[in-house]
Amino acid sequence: MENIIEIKDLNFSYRDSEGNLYPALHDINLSFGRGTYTAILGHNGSGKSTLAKLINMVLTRDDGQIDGTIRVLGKEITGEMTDDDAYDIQCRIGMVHQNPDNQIVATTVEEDVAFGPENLGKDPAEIRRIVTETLAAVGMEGHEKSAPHRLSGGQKQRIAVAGVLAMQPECIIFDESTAMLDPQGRDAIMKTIDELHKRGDVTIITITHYMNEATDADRVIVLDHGGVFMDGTPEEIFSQVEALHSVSLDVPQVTELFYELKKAGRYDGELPLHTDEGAQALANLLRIKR
Amino acid sequence: MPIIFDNVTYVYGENTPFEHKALDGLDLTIEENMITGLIGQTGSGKSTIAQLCNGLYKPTSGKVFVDGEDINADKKKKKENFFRVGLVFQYPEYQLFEDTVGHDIAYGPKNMGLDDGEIARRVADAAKFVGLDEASLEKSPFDISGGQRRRAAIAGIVAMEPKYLILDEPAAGLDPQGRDDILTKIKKYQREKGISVVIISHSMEDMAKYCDKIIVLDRHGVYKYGTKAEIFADPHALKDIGLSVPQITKLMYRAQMLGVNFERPLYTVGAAFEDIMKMLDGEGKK
Repeated sequence: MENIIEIKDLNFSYRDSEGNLYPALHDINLSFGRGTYTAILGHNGSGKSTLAKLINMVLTRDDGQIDGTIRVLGKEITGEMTDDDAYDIQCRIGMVHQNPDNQIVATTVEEDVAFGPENLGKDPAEIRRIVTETLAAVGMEGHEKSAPHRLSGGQKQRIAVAGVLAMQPECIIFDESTAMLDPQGRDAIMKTIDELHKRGDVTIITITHYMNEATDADRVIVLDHGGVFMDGTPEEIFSQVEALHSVSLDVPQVTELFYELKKAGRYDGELPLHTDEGAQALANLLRIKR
Repeated sequence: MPIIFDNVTYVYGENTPFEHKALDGLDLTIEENMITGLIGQTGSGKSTIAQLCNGLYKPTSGKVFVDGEDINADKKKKKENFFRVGLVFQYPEYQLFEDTVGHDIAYGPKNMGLDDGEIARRVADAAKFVGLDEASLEKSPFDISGGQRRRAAIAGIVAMEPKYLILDEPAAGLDPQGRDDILTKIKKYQREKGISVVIISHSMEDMAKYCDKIIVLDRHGVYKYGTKAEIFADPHALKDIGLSVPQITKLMYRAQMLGVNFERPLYTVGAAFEDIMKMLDGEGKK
């Protein structure tokens, strides 16, 4: 599988206006394969957002000291880059932020989604096609003429996703994109991510503090104090309950319950991550006793 | 005493093209001396209610009573009500503005006209409550972490020692340990002081763990007000109004469909563990 992002021996320190350096990331070696879905977890200040912002060049040498290399789509973005190259990378690595209000620019949904492709100089027929397709991809067809401020939080966030998709990116980073949403909005975004992943052409990286949002990813990376603490499948990561607690994280409630039962000597199977597996395991456990 | 909303309507941008009715004839009595959760979809009026409680917003029509007083009756008492009902906004750390964390926490008490000794005591108490050490009180708010900034902002409200404390998404954006830590502290504070606390949140898990009672809002007003058992008893109805139940409660309902019978509704991991252990032990004895 082709890697669209390759990070080698990366160290990054923020630089303030007086030239002081504040280390944020150290010894990062990671690669992301095309079409994969990775969740990045870590306590506040662990370096998750810093890593994401380095990948899509929101942070550059102007913001701090970078050692090591980041290659995105075969190009070394930590080296000398022209403005055109940088712009190209930012178009191809999209980012959805925490607050959709900060990401929506136009007064109707369709204008907002068209904003990116218009800037790319696409012709009107092509833009029309892209708007229709991307709104369908996020389940917001029929809202073309709506005013974004009239939409719910989850709907607005899906418009923000459509706006990013309209740039036809190869990778989308969701930086705590569900943090401000109500349960329905959160479900809608998670469903959208799942569907994008199934399409297979977009690489997905999510950053989240909600553990049960990480269980559907192919891979989970845990950062701690600027370094990679764990890297594995959700099953591998969430079975290590104590290690996660040691870095201020948690496991889904279903997993926590079975972990407690295991500790009490009442369960010896794999720790379930989802409610349906959990319910089945619970039924088996209680029936076996009968 | 409870906070009482008597037929309260609140309209944003009245007589403008953006006119929007956030609350329409709301009747609500928020019980005292407990932690009440306030849940509802985006746009259901949670934050509007919070800002009506301390007089920051004035009802378009209707009355809000705190300590038995109509808080909007006498303009001179507006300030008094700010001190009586402490309101912690969403992402309050963005509102820190003083040169040091200590000065920021002291801002509220200073405005209350307290003497220096009392201000110092309150700042120290509030800092201790949120877990900020003395060294961080001397720092600039910009030189501490995001989690610490959140604590400093909450301490600034707590230092006014309000009888009512309203927190709008106090744990949003914090990591799991940060969430548990701040919510545990709020619960401990409520139990020690016997004040009335209202927490607004989108996390059903947090609500189940930390609240005594829950108010559910939908677009028409109060959908339900009750104990956690009453609120989480009907996951389908909650889903219909854009909400949810804690994951552990979902697990319970799924297991029930597979023939597992629980004796009571479960909405925390602790209670689920206890009941399952009992079921396993009970079955073992037969």
